[in-house]
Amino acid sequence: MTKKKEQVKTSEVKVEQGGSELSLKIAWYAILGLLIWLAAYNKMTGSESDDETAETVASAPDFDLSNWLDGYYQDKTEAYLKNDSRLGKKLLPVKNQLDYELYKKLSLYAYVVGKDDYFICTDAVNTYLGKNALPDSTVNDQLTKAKVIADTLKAKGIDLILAYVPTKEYFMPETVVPTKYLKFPKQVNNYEKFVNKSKALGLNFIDYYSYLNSIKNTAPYPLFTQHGTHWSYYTECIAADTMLRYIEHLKGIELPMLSWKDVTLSDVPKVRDGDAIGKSALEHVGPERKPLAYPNIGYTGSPAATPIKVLGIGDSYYRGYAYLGLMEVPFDKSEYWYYNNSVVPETPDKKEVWEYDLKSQLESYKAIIIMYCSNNLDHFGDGFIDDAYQMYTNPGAYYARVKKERPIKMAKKTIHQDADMMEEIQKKASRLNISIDSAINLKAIEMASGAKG
Amino acid sequence: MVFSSSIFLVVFLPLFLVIYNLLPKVLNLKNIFILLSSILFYSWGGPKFIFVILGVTLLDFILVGQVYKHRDNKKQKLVFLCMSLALNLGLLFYFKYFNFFIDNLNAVTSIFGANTIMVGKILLPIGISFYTFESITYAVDVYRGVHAPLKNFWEYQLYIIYFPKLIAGPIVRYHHISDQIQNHIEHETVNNKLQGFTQFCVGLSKKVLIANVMGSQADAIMNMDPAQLNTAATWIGAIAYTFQIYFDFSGYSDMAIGLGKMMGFFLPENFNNPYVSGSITEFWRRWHMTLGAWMKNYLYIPLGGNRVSASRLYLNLAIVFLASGLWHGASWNFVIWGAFHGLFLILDRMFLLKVLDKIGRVPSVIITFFIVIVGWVIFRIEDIHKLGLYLHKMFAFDFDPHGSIATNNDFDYLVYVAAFFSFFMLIPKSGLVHDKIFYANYNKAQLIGFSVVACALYFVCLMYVSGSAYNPFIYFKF
Repeated sequence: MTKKKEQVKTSEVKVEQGGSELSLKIAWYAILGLLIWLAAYNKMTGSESDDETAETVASAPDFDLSNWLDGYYQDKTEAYLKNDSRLGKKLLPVKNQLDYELYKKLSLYAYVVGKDDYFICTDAVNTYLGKNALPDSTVNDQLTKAKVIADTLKAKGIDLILAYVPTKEYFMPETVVPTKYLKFPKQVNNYEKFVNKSKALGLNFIDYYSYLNSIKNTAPYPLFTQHGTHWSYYTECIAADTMLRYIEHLKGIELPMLSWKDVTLSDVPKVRDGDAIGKSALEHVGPERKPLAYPNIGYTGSPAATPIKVLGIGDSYYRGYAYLGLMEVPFDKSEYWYYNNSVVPETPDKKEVWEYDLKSQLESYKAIIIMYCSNNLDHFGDGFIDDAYQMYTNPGAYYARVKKERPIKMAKKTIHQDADMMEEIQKKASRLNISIDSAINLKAIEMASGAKG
Repeated sequence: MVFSSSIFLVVFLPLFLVIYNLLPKVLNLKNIFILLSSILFYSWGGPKFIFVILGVTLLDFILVGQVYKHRDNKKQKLVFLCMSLALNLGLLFYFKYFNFFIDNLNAVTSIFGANTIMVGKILLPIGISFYTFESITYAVDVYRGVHAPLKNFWEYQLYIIYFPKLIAGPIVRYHHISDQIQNHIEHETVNNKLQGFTQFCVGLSKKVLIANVMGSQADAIMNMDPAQLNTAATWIGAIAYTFQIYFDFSGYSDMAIGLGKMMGFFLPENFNNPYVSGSITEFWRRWHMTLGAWMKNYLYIPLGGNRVSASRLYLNLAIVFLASGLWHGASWNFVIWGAFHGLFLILDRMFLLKVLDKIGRVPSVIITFFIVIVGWVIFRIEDIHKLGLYLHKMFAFDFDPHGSIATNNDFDYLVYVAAFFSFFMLIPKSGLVHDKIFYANYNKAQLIGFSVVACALYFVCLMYVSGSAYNPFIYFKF
């Protein structure tokens, strides 16, 4: 047997003779030491006082042969190491900080650092530019239905109010959005479509963009913050005040009014004004360029001022009203349906909107506000308008549909609240290579049909 | 398990290296430990397929033993060789190409109104293309008398399943590693360990810090409908993918070579600055070199190589590159990609090499890079209809701002870093710097200095692996 020699290129680096000395061995063992420290770090238990993550660290998944064979154990372990392990939790903020400092990149989905350290949402820039705007027919359909609902409710003494909120990317694109995001020529966007159609149909609505634009140059404090995902707390107060005055005017009543005599100024964002910092898991960002204002609010009003029940349906901008106490004081302990899904304030059984009888709920209020920001207008109302429209125009079909959907929704809620079931579903999703939402759907359908049988 | 994962960097590698280094310098002991670790490594990602790979290697070992036993009987040894090849290629065909074959058969028979054949989706065992090729080298090398077969099955198993190169190569030919399996502990010097660790970290950085950023940008563009993109956007996507695949794959190869070196193995280099190639012929001498060598030795030369007529030579080149394309994936775009490269190889032989030679180094590199980019677009987009649209947009000179895209912030910086390292060798005297880094004699201080930098890179990469959801590995699926 002959051994054929062949030239195979390898990158063997030649080291000077005598290189393998003690110092090199020390270097190698130091590397091994570092690596084993990494492996051991997740198993170490530091004192809680000097390790703020100690309390929140989850435990690693338990080994089980069937989980191993279907790959579930591996997926869980990798997810644990990345997201929940002690080391993973330590490394994440450092990586995020590095990304922020080096690349102006944020870990918060769709967010980047824009001009002047403004954290901006690229999706919101796209909606401002009118990219993928809803077809006119869809906007017309939704608002025409809204008009029918408004007229029906008006006859019962209830007012439907639509409120459109600009995001900071929408409100001041030239100030906060880098040029590279604005290359796409601006087209008619959802905000403009909704405002124009609302005007044409004579709906009650508040166009916050126009209002804020009118005070843009005179407002003493920033209307939008650099590091928040919403408008500033100061603007939230102005917006709430505007909403209260609008309802007073519409209904010809007096409400307890939001008021403030003074404001506290701060370079450090408070309340929700710096929420993008936390959501991006950053430790340090630059200071706000202008001090932010925090009105010291209270509620005042004449003896004639009476709270009324006002239902809110909206995105996270409406939540600001909750923080300001609107739902509690002038709206007389009213509710807010977050994305027309979960009920706020949260009930002990985590009530969801579908559990209500829609008609009796709506008719127990004096006004209903649907409030969405420019970035969420593509799902304005999240099905509320279709539901309420069908309920008032074709109740038979509406109640038949609700009856059919109810068991599945009930099953989904049960699944979400049952940790074991969720674990089982995650496993199934991993095995079938489908999303967890799809796996929940499948399970809910299975449970619902089982219950029926 | 892939090298750029938390489980590998935080658990597997530290434990492996520490235990391996604590073991007494006894070859069998160390080999058994590497083998067990390799089984664990493979079964992490493909727990059920480990039984397939163990079973097939046992059969292969027996068959190749028979080839050697009947080495004096041409007919018999050929029969056993064919059985071994049929086993390996059959396995590859079943797992990788059966669905593709049935889909195409259905497409053809449906024209004649025949019923379609329904088969379930067959999952692809990780790294099957790599270890099948390695099994073939074992059988053929023994058949050719290049090397005697290994006496011990577990050593053969170790050759096949050796974890540094198991998933994505380099494709190690049997005779290159057979001696190393027997004597690698002699090369287990502290110098090699430090160099290996450094090379591993450099590869990890190429993958995690550059390729992932390029990949994220490439995906953002290439997953879009090409109708929504303008020409500039399509080129940005193509360039991003061009850098992604290079830094991804060469990074993985560096990690594999570095890991091998830490155990005293010397795996062959897989890349040599491919983007400074002045022709497609040169490109294939610099890109995925171990695949090129495999194709040359086990397909091109048996077909007659270049000691044939011109027309036969062109045919040989076409066959080799079509096979190479198909090896990368069971999809028509890979076949087209292979044909595309094969075409330029043939054109090189006909006249192109002379033209490129005449126009000078930099223009020829630019032209070659341009061809390579187009090739990567073909490689990346599996949907043939979409591929056609994308290529059309690339050459449509459509600069409508509606089709513009905003690039990622990290891409804006790192594309220059990627370009710098890709074309570094074009800079005058860069060869000296390159050789100083890769082939010079290091003194202790330099070696320690590199190790410190490597440790820092390891931590930075670990941060990015832990903190990013995006961490694909292109060649993992092959």
